[in-house]
Amino acid sequence: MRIRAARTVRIVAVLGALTLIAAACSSDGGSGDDGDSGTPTKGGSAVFGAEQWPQCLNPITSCAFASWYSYTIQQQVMPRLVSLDTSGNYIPDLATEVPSLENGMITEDPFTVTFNLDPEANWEDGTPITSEDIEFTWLAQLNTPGAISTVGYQDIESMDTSDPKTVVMEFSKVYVDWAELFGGGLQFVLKKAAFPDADADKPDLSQEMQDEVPFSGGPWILDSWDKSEATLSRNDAFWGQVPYLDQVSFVRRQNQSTEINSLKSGEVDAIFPQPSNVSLIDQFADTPAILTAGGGSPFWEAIHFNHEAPPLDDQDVREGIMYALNRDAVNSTLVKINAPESEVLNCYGWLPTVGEWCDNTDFAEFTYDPEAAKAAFERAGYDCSSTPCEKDGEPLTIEYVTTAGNDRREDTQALLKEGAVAAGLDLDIKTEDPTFLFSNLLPKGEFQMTEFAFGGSPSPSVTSISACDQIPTEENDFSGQNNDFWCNEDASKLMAQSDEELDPNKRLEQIHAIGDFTVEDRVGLPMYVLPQLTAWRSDKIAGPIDEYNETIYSSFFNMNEWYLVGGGS
Amino acid sequence: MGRYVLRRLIFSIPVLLISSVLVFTATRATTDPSAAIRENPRATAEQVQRYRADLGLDDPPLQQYLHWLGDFVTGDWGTSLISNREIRPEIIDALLNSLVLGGLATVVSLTLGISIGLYSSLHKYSKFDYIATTGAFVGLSMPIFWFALILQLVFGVYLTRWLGLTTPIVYTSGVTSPGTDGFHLVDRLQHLILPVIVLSVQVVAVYSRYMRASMLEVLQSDYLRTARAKGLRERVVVLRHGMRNALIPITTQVALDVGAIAGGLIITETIFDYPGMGSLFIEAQGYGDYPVILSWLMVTVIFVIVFNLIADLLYAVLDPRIRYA
Repeated sequence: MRIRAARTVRIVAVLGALTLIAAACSSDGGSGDDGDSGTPTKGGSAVFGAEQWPQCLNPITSCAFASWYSYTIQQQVMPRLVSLDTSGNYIPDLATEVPSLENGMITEDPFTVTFNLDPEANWEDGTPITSEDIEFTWLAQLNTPGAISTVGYQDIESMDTSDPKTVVMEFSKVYVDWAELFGGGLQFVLKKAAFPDADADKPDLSQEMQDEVPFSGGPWILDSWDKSEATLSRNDAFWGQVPYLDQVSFVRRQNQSTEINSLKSGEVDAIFPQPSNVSLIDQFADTPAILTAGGGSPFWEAIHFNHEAPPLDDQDVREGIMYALNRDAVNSTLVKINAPESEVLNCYGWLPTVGEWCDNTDFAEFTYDPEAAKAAFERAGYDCSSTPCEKDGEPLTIEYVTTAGNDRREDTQALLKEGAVAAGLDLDIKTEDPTFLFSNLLPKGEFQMTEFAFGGSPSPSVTSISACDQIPTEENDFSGQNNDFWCNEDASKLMAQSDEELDPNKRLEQIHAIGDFTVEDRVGLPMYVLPQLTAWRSDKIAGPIDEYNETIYSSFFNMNEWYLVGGGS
Repeated sequence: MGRYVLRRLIFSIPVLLISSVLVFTATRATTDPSAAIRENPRATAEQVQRYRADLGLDDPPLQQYLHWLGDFVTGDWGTSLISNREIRPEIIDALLNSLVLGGLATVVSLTLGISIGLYSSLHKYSKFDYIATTGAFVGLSMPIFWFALILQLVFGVYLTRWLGLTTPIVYTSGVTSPGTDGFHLVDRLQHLILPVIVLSVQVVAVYSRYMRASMLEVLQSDYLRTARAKGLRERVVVLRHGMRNALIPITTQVALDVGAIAGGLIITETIFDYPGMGSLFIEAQGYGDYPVILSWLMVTVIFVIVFNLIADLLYAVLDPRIRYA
C-alpha cells in the first residue's frame, strides 16, 4: 500500500513537472532566431515591462501628465497636432506643418494659431480626424470637472472649424506654449464621435475612459487594460506607419530587480528602467542577447537652496557651498555608470538637449574648489582656520535633505558630505518621505538645502518654478512651485515677458538673460541630467529600438516600427 | 455558542469604532491628497485650492470623519482619487488575489509545518529533528526580499537558460501570462509557485516549531498514557488524542495569520508584482489616495477581528473541555 502511494506521488510529480515544461515550451515568445533581424515582417506579439503602472486612463482628470500612462497608452492611441522629435523639437504630426510667424499660421494681434490637418488622418474606423474633434477636445478640457489643468485651453476664446481639415484658434492673449495644447509632450486629441452621450457644447468626460479608451487615432488600439496588463493591437487603419507587430502587451514590473529578471528570463522583451545607483548595463552583461541604449532623460537634478533660510540668505555662503560640492565625483560615480556620455549640467532651468535654451556654460566655473569655498565663507564672516568653519562660535552646518528610498540621492549625499569637509562645510544629511518633503517641508520652507529633479519641457518657461509670485505662501495655500524661495524682480519681469514673446530669437535672448540671473544670484547648483535606459532582447525583437529618445515620450515612442526577429509568428 | 458569538460581535462594534477613529486620524495626518496636483508644474494655486475644496479637505475634521464613516457603513466606499473608479470592487479584487496567494501558502505551510513538527516530536533528537530544527532557523532568518530574488534568478533565469527554453517554467512575476483569456490553471500555478514558496518558507518554520513544542508537551500528558493503557493503537493515540490537542496553539497562529493576509503580503506582492492588498496599499499610499487607504485599513481591521473570533470558536471544536457560556 505504502509503495503504491509513493509511486503515485512520484508519477504525479513527474507529470506536473512535464506539464510545466510543456507549458513553458509552448509559450508564445519570440522566435529565438538569433540571426535574421534585418527584415521587418508583420505579425507576432511582444511583451514589455512597465516600471510604474498607470492607475487610470482618463487623460483629462487623474491621469493627466502621468508619464507611464503616456508611454504605454496615450501616445500610442491618441493623435497629436504636433509631436516632438528625438531631441525634443516640434515636428508636424496631425498638423501638416508646425505653425510659426514666418509661415503665417500664427498672428500676433489677435493671437491666433492655425493648423492644417493631414488630409489622410483618420480614426480607427476610417472616419476622418477633423477640426470638430479638436474643438471637442478643447471643450472637454474646459468642462470636465476634476481636470487637472486647463492652463492654455482657458485662454482660447474661439475656434473656427468651418473647414473640417483646418482649425483656427483665437486666444484672448498671447499663449506662447500653444504647441503644448492638443499635442506636444503630453497633450492629445479626442474623437468626438466616441462620446455620443456627451453634451456637444459642454462635454463632461469625468466618468469616461475609466477602463477603456474607445477610439484610436494612433498606431495602436487599446484592447484591454487592468491593474496588471495593457494589451494593444495594431491599428490597420492608422494613417502613418502601421505597426509590424500584431499585438503588444505591457505588464507591470514595479520592482526593478524583478523587472530585470523578467527580461533576462525572457518573460518580457524590452524594459525602460530608471537607473539608480547601480549599473544596469553591468547587470545585463551576463546575457549577451540583451542590448541597451541610453542617454539623458527629460529630467534634471539640482541642489536647491532655501534663500530665506539663514545662513543661505547670504549669497557668499551659497557661493561657498557651490564650490564645496563635488559635482564631478557624483557624475562620474553615479551617473556615468548608466549613461557613459553624461556631463555635469551647467544651466539651471533647462535641458541642454532641448533647443538652445540651456546655456551650458552658466555654472561651469563652479567646479570643486575647497579653497574658493573657504574664501567665500570667509567673506560671509566665517573663520575657516578650523573645520568646519565657524561664525560667532557656531559651526557652518547645513541641513541637506532629500527623498528617502532613492539610492542614487542617498549616495550623492554621502559623496558630497565627504568632499565638503575639506571646504570647511559640514553637511547634516537627512532623508524624508517624498510626499512629506514635497507637501510639507518644501512648500513651508522648512529646509535649508535639498536635492530633487525637475521635469524639462520643450517650453523654456521657468516662471512657475522661479518667479517671485510662485514662492509658496499662506496666501497661495503654499501651492507655489518656487521652492528656492528666490525672488529677483528683474528676473521675474523677464520671465513674464518671455512667456509672451513669439519671436524665437528674442525669446532665446531673454531666456539666456534669465540664466545669467540664476548664476549671479547663486540660485542653486545644477547637477546632471537624469540618465535613462532601454534594454531589449535582441534575440526576440528588432527595429529602431536604439533610436534613443530624450523626450518625455520614452523608448516606446516608435514601437510601431519594432518587429519580431526571424519574422512574425 | 450562539450567545457567545453574538456577544463577541456586539463587543466588536466599539472596537471597530475606535479603530475607525484611529484609522481616519492616522490616514489624514500622513497623506496629502493634493500632493500630486501640487507637484504638477501646470497646476495653478487656484486649481489646487479648488481641488481641495471639491474633496472637502478644508472641512472640519469631525465633519470629514462622520461623512466618511456614514458612507462606509452604508457600503458607499467612494471612488479613488487617482483612478476615479469605485473603491469597493478594487478592494474585493485585491482581497481575492491576496486570499488566493495567502490561502495557498497557508495550506502548503500548514501541511508541511504540521507534518515536520509532528515527525520531529515523535523522533526527538533524531537526525531528522536536527535537520528540521536547523532548517527552521535558516528559514526564519532568511530575508524574504533576498530569498525571492534568488528564487527568481535560479528558477526564472538560470533554469530557463540551462534547459534552453524560450520562457521560464515558473514565472518571476505577475498573475497570468500576457494575453491569457479566462482561467488557466497551469498558467496560474506557474505564476504562483515562487511567491508561495517565498511565503511558505518562514511560515513552515514557525508552524513546525509550534507543532513540535506543542506535541512534545501533549505526548507527556496523562490522558495519552490513559489512552495507551486502554489499548488504543499508537496511531490513534497520536493522531486523534495527541495531535488534536497540540493543534490548539497553531490554530491561534493560523487564524491571526489568515487575518493578516487581508492586509496583504506587502513585500512578496511587491517583488512579484502581484496585484493584491499589499500592492494596493503601497500604491494608494504613494499617491496619497486616502479614500482607498481608509477603506483598505477598515477591511483589514474587520478581517483581523473576525478571524480572532473564528480562532476562539475553533478552540471549542478542537478541545471538548472548552465550553462557552
